[in-house]
Amino acid sequence: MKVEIEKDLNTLKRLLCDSDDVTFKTFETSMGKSAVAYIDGFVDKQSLYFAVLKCLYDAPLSVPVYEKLCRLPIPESVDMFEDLNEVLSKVLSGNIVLLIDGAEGYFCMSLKKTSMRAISEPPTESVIRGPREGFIEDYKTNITLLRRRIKNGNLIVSETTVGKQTNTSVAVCYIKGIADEKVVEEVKMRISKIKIDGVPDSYYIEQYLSESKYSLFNQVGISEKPDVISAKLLEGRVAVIVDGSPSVLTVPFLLFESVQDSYDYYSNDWRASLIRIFRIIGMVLTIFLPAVYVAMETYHSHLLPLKFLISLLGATSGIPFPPQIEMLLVLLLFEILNQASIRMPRFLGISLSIVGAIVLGETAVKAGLISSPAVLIIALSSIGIFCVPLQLNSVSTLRVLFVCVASVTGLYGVIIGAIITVGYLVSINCYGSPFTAPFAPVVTPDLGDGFLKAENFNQTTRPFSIPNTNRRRK
Amino acid sequence: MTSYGIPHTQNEILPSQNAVMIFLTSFFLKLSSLPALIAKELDTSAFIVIVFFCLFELILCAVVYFLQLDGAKDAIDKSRLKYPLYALMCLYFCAKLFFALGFIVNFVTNFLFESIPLYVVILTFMLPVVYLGYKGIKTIGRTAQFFFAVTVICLFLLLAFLKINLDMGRLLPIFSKPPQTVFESMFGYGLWLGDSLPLVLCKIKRPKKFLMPLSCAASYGLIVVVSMISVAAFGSALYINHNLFVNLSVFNQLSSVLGRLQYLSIIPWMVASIISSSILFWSASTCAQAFIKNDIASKAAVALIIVVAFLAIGHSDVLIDHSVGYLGYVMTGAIVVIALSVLIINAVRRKKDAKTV
Repeated sequence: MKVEIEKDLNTLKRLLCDSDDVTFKTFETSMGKSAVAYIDGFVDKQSLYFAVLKCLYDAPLSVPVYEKLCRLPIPESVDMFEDLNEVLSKVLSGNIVLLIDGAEGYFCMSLKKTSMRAISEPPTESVIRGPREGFIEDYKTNITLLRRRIKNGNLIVSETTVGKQTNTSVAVCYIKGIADEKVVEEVKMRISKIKIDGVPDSYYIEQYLSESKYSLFNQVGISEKPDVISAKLLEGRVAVIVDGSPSVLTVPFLLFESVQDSYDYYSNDWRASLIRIFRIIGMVLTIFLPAVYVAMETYHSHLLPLKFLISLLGATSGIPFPPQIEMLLVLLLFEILNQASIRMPRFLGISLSIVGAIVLGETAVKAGLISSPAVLIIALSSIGIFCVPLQLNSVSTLRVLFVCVASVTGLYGVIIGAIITVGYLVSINCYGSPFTAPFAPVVTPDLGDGFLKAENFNQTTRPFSIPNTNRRRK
Repeated sequence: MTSYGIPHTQNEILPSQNAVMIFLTSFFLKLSSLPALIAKELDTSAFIVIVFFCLFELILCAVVYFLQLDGAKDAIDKSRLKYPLYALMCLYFCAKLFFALGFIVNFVTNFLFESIPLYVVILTFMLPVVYLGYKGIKTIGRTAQFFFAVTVICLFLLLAFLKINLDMGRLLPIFSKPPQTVFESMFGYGLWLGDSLPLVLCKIKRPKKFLMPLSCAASYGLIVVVSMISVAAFGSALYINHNLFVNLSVFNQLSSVLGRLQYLSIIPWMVASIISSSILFWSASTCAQAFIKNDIASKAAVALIIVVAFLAIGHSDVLIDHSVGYLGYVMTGAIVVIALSVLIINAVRRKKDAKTV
C-alpha cells in the first residue's frame, strides 16, 4: 500500500464523524507532504515538535522513515500499520499517527501527556503506620506502583481491552511461579468473555469475576493500596487493574480477608490479633444487635437480666411504635442521613451531621417517638459497619433483613437465618478456594493469619487455602 | 468436573468435619430430652443407661469410620442388596428426622413461643434443614465447623460457671431398677442411638490417625459428664427437665450479670439440632436417590413427606409419647441390621477386589 495524504485524511475524518477534538495537521518535511492526527489534550506537543518532527525536517533522505523514527530516543516505540481502522483506534487511545505521502504505512507513536490526580492516601484505607500511597485512575501509573514494589521479572502484566465502545484497558497481573496458572487462565478467560459497552469502574469487571453473580457478599478483593495488592500477589493471587479506576481487584478472595487490614501486618501480633477480634465482634454486632434487640424486646424479654429489663422498660414506655417498627424507622433514618451526607457538599455535611445526630435524634427521643436504646443500638451497629468496609454492602443489608426476620420469628428466626447465611457462605468456592477457609474447612497452616495473627517472620508459607504453585515464602 | 478440572467430591468430608458433626449430633440428641425420658421410667439408672448408650455409639462410630474410609457407599451401589438396603436406610433416617422434629417443635412451642402455629415452626425449621441438605454433606460439615467454636464457647461458659448443689450420692443406686429391667427398657430408647450412622454414606478425605478416636471419646465423654452432673444435681427430679441442656443453664453464676442464660444454651442447641436434622435429611434423600434418580426430586420428595406427615399429625406430643417403647426397639434393630449389612457388603466387595488384583 501507499499512503495518500488527502484521501486517507478524508477517510479518517469520515470515520470520526468530523469530531472536533481530533486534530489533523498537514505540513511539508524533507520527506514530502506529511500530516499528523491526534487528540488535543492527550499529546505532549513539545515532544512531538522537538523530538519527532524537527528530526524529520532535518533528516537526510537516504534513510527510510521508519528506521529514522525508530532511532529517535523519544517516543519509546513506533509501530507501523496498514489498516486505517487500526490507525483510528490508536488515535482514540491517545497516540499520534504520522502520515507521510507515499510511505508504505502509517506510523503510530505514543507521546501521551495526560493530567491526572496525584498519588495520595486512599480515604477508605487510612493507616496509622505503613505506606500511604494509593492507586489512581491511570492504570499505567498503577502498574508502575506495583513494579516499584515487586522488582522481579516474574511479575507478569497481561493487558487487554474491554468495552465495545470504551475500549478500556484492563491489566491482569500475577507472579509467575507463585500464582496458579489455572486461576490466571480462568481470570483471563472471564475477562475475554465480557461483552459490554463500557467499563466506567472496576466494579463492572468485578461482577464478571465473582463466582456467584447474584450474591450479597463481595467475592472479589478490592484495594486502593499498592502494598496490599503486592502482598496479595506474593500470596499467589491474581490482580486486575482497570483503567479509570483506583480500585484494584484480586482473586481468589476469602471471606476472612474482609477482616484483615494492612495495619495488622505493620503492628505486633498481640495488637493485630486483638483488633482483628474486635473487628469480628463489630461485624457480628452490626448484623445481629438490632435483630436481637427486637427479638428480645418483642418475644423473649424473660431472657434479659432484671435490672437491664427494668431500665429498658423505663426507656421504651410511652413509645407509640412496636419495637420492630421503631427499629426499622431508626434504620431508615440512619440510611437517609448516611446517603445525604455522602452526596452533600462537604461544608454542608458537617451541618447535616449536627442536624441528623443532635436535632433529629435527640428531638425524636425527647418527643417520645423513638426510644434512646433503639438509637443507641443503631448507632453502635452503624459504627460497626465500618470495621469491615469490604463487606459494607452485605453487612448493612443483612442487618435490615435480620431485623425483619426477628420481628416475625424472634430469636428462633434469627438463629435459623444465621445458619442459612453461614450455609450459603460455606458453600461458595472462589476459584477453587473455599470462601470461608481457613475456618470452614479448617486449614491449620493458615490459622496463623486467622483470628490470632502470628508475627510476620513466622509466616513462612503462602496460604494453603488458595491455589498457588510455590508454598515456601523463603 | 469443576471449571478448574478438579473432580466434584461432594460426598467427601474431612476427618475434622466428621468429628464435629458427630459431636453436634450426639450433643443435640443425647443432652436434650433423653435423660428426662429415661429418668421418668428408670429413675437414677438414667446415668448408667447413658453410659451404655455412649459405649454403643463409640462402637458404632468405629464401624462407621471404617466403612467411611473404605467408601462403603460405592460398595452398596454395586451390591444386589442395594434397593432393599437403601429402602431400609431411607425409612430409618426419615423416621429419625420425623421424631427429632417432634422434639424440636415441642421445645420451640413450649419454650420460645407459646402460641405459635405448628406449621410456622415446622416450615421455618425445615428451611435451613432442606437448604443444607440440598447443598450436600460438605456444606453441612463446613457449617458444623463454622459453628463449632460458638458451641464450645457456650458450653464452656455454661459448665464452667455452673452453680449447682451437686450431690454424687444422688447417682446411687446406679441400678434403681433391677439390671434386667434396665437393660430390657434401654433399647426402647433406640431413637436416640445411631448418631453417626447417616455418615456412612460419605467418604473421608485425607484421614488422620488419632483425630476420630479422640474426638469421639471427647464427645461421648462430655455427654457422660453432663449426664452425671445432671443426675447429681436433679436426682429423681431429672424427669421434669424436658430439655436438660437448656434447664442446666438456669443454674449459672453468670446469670446474675447476664440474665437468664437460656440464650447461651438455645443457640448451640438450635445449631446442633439443625445440623443433625440436615444430616438426617441429606442421608434420607441420598438413599431415596436410588429410587428417584433425580437429585432435586428425591430431596423434594423427602422434604414433602416429612412436612406433610408432620402437619397431618398436627401435634408434637403424640410423637413424644410414641417415641419410646416399641418404636425404640425397631430403631435399635434397624441400626444393627443396617450396620451389619453394610459391613458384610463392604467385606464382600473387598474380597472381590482382592481377587481382581
